[in-house]
Amino acid sequence: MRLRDVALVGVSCTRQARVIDDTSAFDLTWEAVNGALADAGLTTDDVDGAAIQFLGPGGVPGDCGSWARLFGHPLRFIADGMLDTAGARGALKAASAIATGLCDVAVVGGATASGTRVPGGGSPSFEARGVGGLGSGGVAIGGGGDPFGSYVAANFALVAQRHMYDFGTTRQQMAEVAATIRNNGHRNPQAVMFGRGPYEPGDVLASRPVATPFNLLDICLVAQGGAALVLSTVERARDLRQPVVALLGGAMEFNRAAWTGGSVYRDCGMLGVDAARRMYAMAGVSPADTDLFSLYDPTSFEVIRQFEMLGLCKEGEGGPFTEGGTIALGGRFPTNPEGGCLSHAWNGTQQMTLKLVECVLQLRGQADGRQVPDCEVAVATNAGSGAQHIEMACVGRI
Amino acid sequence: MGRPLPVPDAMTAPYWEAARRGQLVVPECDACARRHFPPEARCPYCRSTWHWAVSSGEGEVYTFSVVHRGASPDFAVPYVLADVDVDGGTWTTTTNIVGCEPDEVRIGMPVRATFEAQNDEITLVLFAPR
Repeated sequence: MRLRDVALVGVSCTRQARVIDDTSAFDLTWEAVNGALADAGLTTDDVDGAAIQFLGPGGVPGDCGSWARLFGHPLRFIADGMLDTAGARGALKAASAIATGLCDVAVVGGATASGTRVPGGGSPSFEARGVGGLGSGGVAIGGGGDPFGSYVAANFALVAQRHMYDFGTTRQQMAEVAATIRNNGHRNPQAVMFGRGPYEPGDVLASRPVATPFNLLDICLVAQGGAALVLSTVERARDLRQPVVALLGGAMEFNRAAWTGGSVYRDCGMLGVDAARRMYAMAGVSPADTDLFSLYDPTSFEVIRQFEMLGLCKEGEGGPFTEGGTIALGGRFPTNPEGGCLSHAWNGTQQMTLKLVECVLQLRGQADGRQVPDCEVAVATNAGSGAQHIEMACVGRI
Repeated sequence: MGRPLPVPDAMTAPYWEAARRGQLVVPECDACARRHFPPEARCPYCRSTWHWAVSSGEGEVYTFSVVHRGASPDFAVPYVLADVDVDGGTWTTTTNIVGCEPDEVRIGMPVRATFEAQNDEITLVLFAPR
């Protein structure tokens, strides 16, 4: 079997909020997993592959084999590592297992919450991840925290600043991207920032500086929440509850260890160009045929860069490309119609899963109030330049 | 508190020993002579072994960000996070630009290494205008 013989048969997105302290990460994960299974018309009895973040209680935190006891039967496939349980990387690895016959129904997902009703809570912190954790910045000579004060937003700022210098990308262009995606979230009742707009580019430019060239409204929010995907074969998907959405193509690209290398544009500025070519070739579609873009948007600028990366425009032309409503709902290339990480939710690792959830809802025609008309092909991306790795998937109706 | 400090290991200890002496050193390949940073187990360009070479300590700002909201409360803001091309652009390091106002920093600005002792063990290599 090939990747395109694998389908995304179920999706779920739990509530997303700045802080979720009335439930635990486990309980929210359980809700996400069962929600995605119910969406597909399946139950935990059907699951034989688990790429689901496991934080306890019970089992061994970090060991996805722990899910076997909770599902009440042995599993045939598990993932290891936080990023293997989310988004395109999680889906592509699970799909590979399904395509090769290792398992038949796999779930990808997880959640963050800080409630402590049972052990296993914990809240994600964009800031904390930027220091000493994933975002140890670029130096990390000898390990320990980054002594120069790099963190996620600042790392992406280093890339943006050089792009402005080399190609003349403007703050106005970045502000339009941020305002457009934030306005999508403003209109989405499920978004953390629902009703907080509308925004004009001028509002972005007038918000307080965080790490030049970025102001507060250029940078994604920090929240909590859960999401999950269920994958199985296209053959099985035809007998399930939802319209069939297949994984048409996918690709990954790793420059070096995540968040290292100082976010030097000449090293990471074109990260993902090769992956995008491979993904679109596998999918058999051209970049301009993409009806929906569900792009990683930790900052306004990364969206601009990713259009260059995907081949929609040339290197350096992303700023002008995104001007004039191109990426708005109703524009030529609608992007992050649910509000993205800027306004819907950045919730830790599972924001990666949310990118695919939105693709599936749009392809099924179930994106209430934000539906992209005649959506047949959608692309989701996770991570990007400053992170030094990227994962992407192309999904479509078949 | 104070900013987080690196923990030297077997591979990186010579870098920190040199910094303590006021010297900037960098991995230089035994075979192709190219420099790389941060240090890897083998030369990333040709897979050979390498030795520590002494850098001129002179470079130009490749990119930077004036950080107004710090990585943690341990950092006084604003500060300048930067990548500096060192030794004629043969290698690049992440650092802070000091010795000028943050809004005076520009891409391409000539800078020179300056050594700031944090404690008896760790001296950070920062860069200032030259």
